[in-house]
Amino acid sequence: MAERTRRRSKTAERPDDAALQIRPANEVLVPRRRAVVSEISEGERSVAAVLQFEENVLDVLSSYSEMSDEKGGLQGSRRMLEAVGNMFLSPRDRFRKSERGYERPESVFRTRREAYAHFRRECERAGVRLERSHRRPSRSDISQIESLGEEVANNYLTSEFLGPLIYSRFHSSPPRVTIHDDASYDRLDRADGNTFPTYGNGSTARYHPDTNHITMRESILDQDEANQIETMVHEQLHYAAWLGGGLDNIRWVDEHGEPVVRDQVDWLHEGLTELQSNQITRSHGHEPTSTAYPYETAVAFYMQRIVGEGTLREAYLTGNFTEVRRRFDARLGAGSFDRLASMSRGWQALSFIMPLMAENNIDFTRWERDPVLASCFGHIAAIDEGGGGW
Amino acid sequence: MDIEKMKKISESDEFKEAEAKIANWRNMIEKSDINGIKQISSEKNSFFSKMREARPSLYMIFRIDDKTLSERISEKITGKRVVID
Repeated sequence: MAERTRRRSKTAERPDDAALQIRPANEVLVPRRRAVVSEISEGERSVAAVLQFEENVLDVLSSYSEMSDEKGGLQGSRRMLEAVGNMFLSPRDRFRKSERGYERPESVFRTRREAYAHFRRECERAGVRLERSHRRPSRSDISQIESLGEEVANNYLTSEFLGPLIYSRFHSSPPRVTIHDDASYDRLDRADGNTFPTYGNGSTARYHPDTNHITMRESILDQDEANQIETMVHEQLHYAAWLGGGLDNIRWVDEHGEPVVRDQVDWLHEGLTELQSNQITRSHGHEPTSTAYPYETAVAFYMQRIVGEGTLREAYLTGNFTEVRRRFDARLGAGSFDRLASMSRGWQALSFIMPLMAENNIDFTRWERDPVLASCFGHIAAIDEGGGGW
Repeated sequence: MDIEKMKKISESDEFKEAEAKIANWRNMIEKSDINGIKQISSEKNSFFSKMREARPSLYMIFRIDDKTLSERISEKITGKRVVID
């Protein structure tokens, strides 16, 4: 408990968060510097006050033993408090708060045992009853895929890819991957009403924000190595993006210097995650046979070609899409990015972006042979023709 | 990708019905108590399971909604966020 409190206090005392120094948002604010400097310091005070408020309330909550079970009993409280805290922040302050990302998750699981206990608690909270004998599946290849998690963290998500700040956060609290029996996963899916299939029925993997924990269903072991790696990279990217501030919302500073925060553009985040996990996996010589979000991934692919790989990657990890928006609009017309970001699913975004590219003389057919894009359209065609795919 | 075909799909009754249901669920999830959430979870599961069997190409479009609704249901039930893939 003392350690948890100490960690949180440490997090609150970071007036010059390095995260702010690498964000392009400040660059965009430069033209209005004189005005903005006073707003920033005022804003910083508001953000610091809200962060302190959150820390104080968490400290009070942690004094109640029934809420601070073994580890992670308070996990989730932070998100609730953040939602309350955000109500007191102006859009500009909320923008600045989001820019910080997270130094570390509130619950960090260092051992497999802790992570399995966390999964059990998650199931209990969801009202899912596990088999009495529920424990780590006994298959001999379980440890193989758990090691794969470490390999991906160490060799696939490099400092060059994540950037020094997120890389450092990521390796301070490295992801912990656990594998769970299909029956438990199926029950969890039923509790959430989930039918979403990647391989077979139901979900394949879950990332638990505000922790370093990734869970996967046992049947992932029946997939070939390339698909296992791709799934592993995909989930670890969610974690990296959470640390960087890119999971919860997307943000930009508009042409008038006004900050915009847009929640729930999930299709874009998933498309970008799948695109990059596919590309990273392929860059290591493995060829995944499936694309989990073909429409969303296709849109992400076109965006990458239009705005540039590095620019899009930084936006994905940090959530700050200011530069992406500027480049996108420069190529496809003013207001194009805002329209894209207002769409609720990838299918609509694809219906929007393809004619727009044609109108702006972008010959997008030249990219059709790219293996990732070909995989997206191949998957869509297979479904359209009544073939498999799930 | 056939843009004309995509337009036709978006004008179909099935598409509009699914959009309306999803919007209603999103709204109801925020307002419902735990029993209401469980009811929505069950309806949603049934709806998307049938769509996946009968109209896989339509399900592909709404797949992201299946996922995000489940994430929201999970958060409402457990108080914690989860990313489901």
